[in-house]
Amino acid sequence: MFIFQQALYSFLSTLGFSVLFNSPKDCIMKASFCGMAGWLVKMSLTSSFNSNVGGTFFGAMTVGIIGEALARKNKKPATVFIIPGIIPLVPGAGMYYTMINFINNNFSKTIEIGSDAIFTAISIAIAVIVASSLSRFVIRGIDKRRGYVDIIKKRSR
Amino acid sequence: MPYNIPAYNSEHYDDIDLNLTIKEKKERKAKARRSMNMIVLAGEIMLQSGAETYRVEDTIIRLAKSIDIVNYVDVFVIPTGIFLTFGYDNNINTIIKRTQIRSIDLNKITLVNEFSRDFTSSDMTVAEGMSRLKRIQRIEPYKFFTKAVLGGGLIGSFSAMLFGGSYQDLIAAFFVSTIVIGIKTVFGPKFSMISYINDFFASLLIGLFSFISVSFGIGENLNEIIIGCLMPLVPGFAITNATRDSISGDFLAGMSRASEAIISALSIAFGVGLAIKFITHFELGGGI
Repeated sequence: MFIFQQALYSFLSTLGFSVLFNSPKDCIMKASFCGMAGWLVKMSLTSSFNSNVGGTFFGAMTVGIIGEALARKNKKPATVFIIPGIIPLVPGAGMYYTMINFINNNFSKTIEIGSDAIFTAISIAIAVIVASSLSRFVIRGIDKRRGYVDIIKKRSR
Repeated sequence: MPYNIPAYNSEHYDDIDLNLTIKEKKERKAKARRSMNMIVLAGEIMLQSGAETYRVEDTIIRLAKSIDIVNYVDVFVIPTGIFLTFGYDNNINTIIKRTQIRSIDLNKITLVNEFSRDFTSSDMTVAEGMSRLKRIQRIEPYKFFTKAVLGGGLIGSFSAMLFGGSYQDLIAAFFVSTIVIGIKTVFGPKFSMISYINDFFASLLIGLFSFISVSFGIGENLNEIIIGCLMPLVPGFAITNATRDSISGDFLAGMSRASEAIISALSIAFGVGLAIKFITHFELGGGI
């Protein structure tokens, strides 16, 4: 039940992000699914790894791989699926508590929570890059096997 | 594409190398300029909608290669400008286009991407391409109401739930987030062109409205409501793009996007911090 609730919440919040970023209408549902998958992976791995950074890394990697696959299938740029999908993973709570502790002069706590937030944010970006370079490698292999050549037509007018 | 800048006086060199009449030369020049305008417009739309640097560069080079007279093309893109060099016959032209990031618009990125694929794989003329790009540029984003309720309300309420809020917090965060995003989309562009100042005031309002909702008994946990409502403003997009650009080798673009993200995050933190300091200073309660 708890997992079902979390899935629903992450699906709807990713849907909101796709609307806020003006995603095309036929991509909104797919991007929301992508975000949901990422959040569920992050949720389950954070508790088993006992680390926010590791869980977020694999969550973002899931978003990246699913996003690249959807992009390839629908012939859309991968950004459309990846950007709304990773935003729920961004450490908003970490940033907020960093700021609260900074205001209340709790500097050791500020560093503790703040460094976790920064590393989480960086791990998201690295995971997305790893996923996209992995998918590029795979796609290049598939194209080579099928004999696909990228043709650019020259025009005279 | 290799290109050697002519060593002679270019007019003299033209006469030796190409047997073109003056009329033909003028036509080729006009055509080169027209296609250059189209290519820069495509890049500008993508960059203003927040596309990654490598995607903009790739699109520009692909479009330029599909024009028959072009024998050299090179481009340098940073988030605030496009530098495009374009060689044809024995001439070389450069365009510098200053751009500003307006707002994130994934729809326009998709449409320009589709346009570039269509343009390079069909016989579309440059004039047709230009009119299609201008149509893309005029496409409006989602309506105000949709953006405030779906974009603001849904993100705010369900992010609050994700970070561990209760059902009361969901309702409070929905209203606070809808109101603040609505105010930001309506008054933001009129109030200030600088987005950081809008972020600052939006987060200040989020702090105050969340406190009001808690003190009226609509919401329960102030922290969760504030975190949920802040999520639409958090620069997650900029952080990701900054790291992505830096790692893929565009260090200048990465650094400028990173500074954008840092300033944006700081302005949000100052806004909420000011609101919370206000609440705690006057001992209004609220359980922070």
